[in-house]
Amino acid sequence: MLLPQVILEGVMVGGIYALAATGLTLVLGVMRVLNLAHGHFMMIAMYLTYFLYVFFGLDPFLSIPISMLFLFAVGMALQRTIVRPVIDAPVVNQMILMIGLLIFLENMAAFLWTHNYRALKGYEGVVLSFFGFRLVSTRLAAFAMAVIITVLLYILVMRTKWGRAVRACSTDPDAAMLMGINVPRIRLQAFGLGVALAGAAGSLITTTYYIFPSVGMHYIIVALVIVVLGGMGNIFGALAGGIILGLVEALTSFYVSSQLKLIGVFIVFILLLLFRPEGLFARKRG
Amino acid sequence: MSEGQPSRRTALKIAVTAIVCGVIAGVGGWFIGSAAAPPPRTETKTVTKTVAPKTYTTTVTPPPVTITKTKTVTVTATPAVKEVKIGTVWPLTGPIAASGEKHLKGVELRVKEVNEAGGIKSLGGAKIKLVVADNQGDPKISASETERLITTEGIVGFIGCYTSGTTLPATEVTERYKIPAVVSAGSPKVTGRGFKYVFRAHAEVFKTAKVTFEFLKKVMGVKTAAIVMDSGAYGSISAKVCSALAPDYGIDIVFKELFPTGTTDMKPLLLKVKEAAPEAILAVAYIADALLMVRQMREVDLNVKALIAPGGAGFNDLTFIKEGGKLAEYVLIGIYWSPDAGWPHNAEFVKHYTEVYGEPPDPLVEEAYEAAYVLFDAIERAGSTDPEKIREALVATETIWTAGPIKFSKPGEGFLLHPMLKKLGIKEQIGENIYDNTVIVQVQDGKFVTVWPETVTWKGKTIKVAAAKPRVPMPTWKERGL
Repeated sequence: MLLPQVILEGVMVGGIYALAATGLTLVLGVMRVLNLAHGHFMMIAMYLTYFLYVFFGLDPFLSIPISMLFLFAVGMALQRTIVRPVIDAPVVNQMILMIGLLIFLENMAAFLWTHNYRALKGYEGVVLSFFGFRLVSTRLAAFAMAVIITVLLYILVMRTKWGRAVRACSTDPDAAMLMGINVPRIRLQAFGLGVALAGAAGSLITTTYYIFPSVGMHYIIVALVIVVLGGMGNIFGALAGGIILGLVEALTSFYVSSQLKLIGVFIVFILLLLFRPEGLFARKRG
Repeated sequence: MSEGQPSRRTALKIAVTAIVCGVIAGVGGWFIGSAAAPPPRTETKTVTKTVAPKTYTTTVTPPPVTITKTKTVTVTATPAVKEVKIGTVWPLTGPIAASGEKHLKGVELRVKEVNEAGGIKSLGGAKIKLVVADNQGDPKISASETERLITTEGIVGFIGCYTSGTTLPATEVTERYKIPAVVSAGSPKVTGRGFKYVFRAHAEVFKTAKVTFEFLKKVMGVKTAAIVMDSGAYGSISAKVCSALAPDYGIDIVFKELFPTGTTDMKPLLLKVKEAAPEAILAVAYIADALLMVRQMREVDLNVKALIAPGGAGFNDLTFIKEGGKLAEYVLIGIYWSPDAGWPHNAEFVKHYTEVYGEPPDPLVEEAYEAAYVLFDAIERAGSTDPEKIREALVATETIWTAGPIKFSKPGEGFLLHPMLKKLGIKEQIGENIYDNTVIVQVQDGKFVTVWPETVTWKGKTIKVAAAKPRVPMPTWKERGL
């Protein structure tokens, strides 16, 4: 009887992981910049959500648009100032920049808001039980929200003109430019959107987890695995990858030991790199 | 979209390398972290210290304490001692600096109290002069700084060092120079090496586990328990000690699992605990995990008679109450000191510390404050700055202070905190406080309240320790309306 419950929990966690990964996969797919600070942008959004909740009593779900807008602006500003110069630079330079950024963000948060752990007190959610399952309302809502946002993003990228331009920039920036696409602008917007998605993920996580300066680190590692699992730049792959990862974590800690749950995740990761390095959901190359 | 661009490939490769390196480093770090404390250094330095005149920066008025080639450091013949030099070594920089700072404040408070009350009276009101050194949390620096304090500063007593990794090498040095050391450190090895100049007053992991079990047995009649603990150094030792002690109290450990610090989801683990259906959960978790544990216990509707944390860790952090709110209620903690425990001088200590530093003391402050008290009390009774006389006075200590009574085990008594220590090669513990000095604290109405032992009889006097009655057993989540 416990197994279905464990699976359910794994899927719920996976939804949040997926949302964390979609923004990362978008930035990586379109700009070929590995945004290692992605988890730390989530952390910024978590603090924003926390303060909106504490000072204005704003429901964390309602603060999703606010944190998305805020981080969209932050993302664009950073792209303009520090990310753009390294777009064509070697990958190592990009990674050093991003690691620098994440160290800065983490220490800034520790300086401004201390290392103390915070939670949305009184926002624990209602425990729903049905058919012997127990599910917390906030977690279910967060999962649903994560799926909705991912689907919307998928539609945006795959079904709109802007999305086509984004994909064009991703496949061949030079050809895209020749077709009259404003490549730098698309890149700017895509980076902003990727960071905004980190904002959405951050706001959602506050409903189930605690807020502290280094909270982003766990999520970035998981998100990187998911991005590779789902195929880089593949939004639907990120959703599926997230859920798979959530399940692997839950099942490893249930059947083996919670001490080893990340090992389960990385075994999957290594197997994947050995046998399907292009990702589980990558389409066949033409 | 899935066109394999070379730069993307490279990015992936580097990312993978970075992750793999991270994992290796993490696993490696875990192994190093869980490995035993470094073996004591067998350094045989010949102590032919030529008197270095340049080191006397402060104006010492009595005939400058000339460090001769022998071990006796102070000149006992000098009639008027104006100050007593005490060395204290803590991690004051580095990752655990915040905790080291707290210990230092505890020692400084006691020095201030003694000096303001007229110094060491048996030495004609000699003032205590604290010589502070920083070991940066590093065992090697800890030993060398201790040696420096003894050989160039001429300290006659030592207090330190918080971590066992730094206290073990520092006390190797104090033992070699025959300088009495009152320590605050957790490892059973600290007092288990046959050393005659090392003393520890505060309770460590065995005592907290022991009192925790006594409470579960005597007050609650618990028969089964689950161990759910952090996989770091403290949690894993605590898990071992609790598993070893449980049978002594007729408690059956029905489930045991460790989890990594900073876990984001504990539900699969808690569901397993639920299946094992223990009467009590023994938990060690740092603050984020402690909060997550109570939160998710509610979510999976895991009900036990007691959730008890031997040693406290995150559960006795004020953040736990502040952020945990109603979820934190009823949680029990077995800890060596609590601000509202009714021990003599405890209320004054809390009040004085709060006045001086503007914040309430925590157990880290108290263990250092207590160590300083023990050492200065011995100096007062010895009426001498001869380390040998101070040691004799320490051996004769029989007192009671802010965390309970203190009396040290003597060489040859065969005192052991637990027989399982024999497996670690510890034959007896010398200079270990023979009293358990652990209290049970509970979160009641958003406050940490001492609930057990109710009273303790010491030298015919009955001391009321607990501030309130324990609220046990813990009601179910449903009964709590959460």
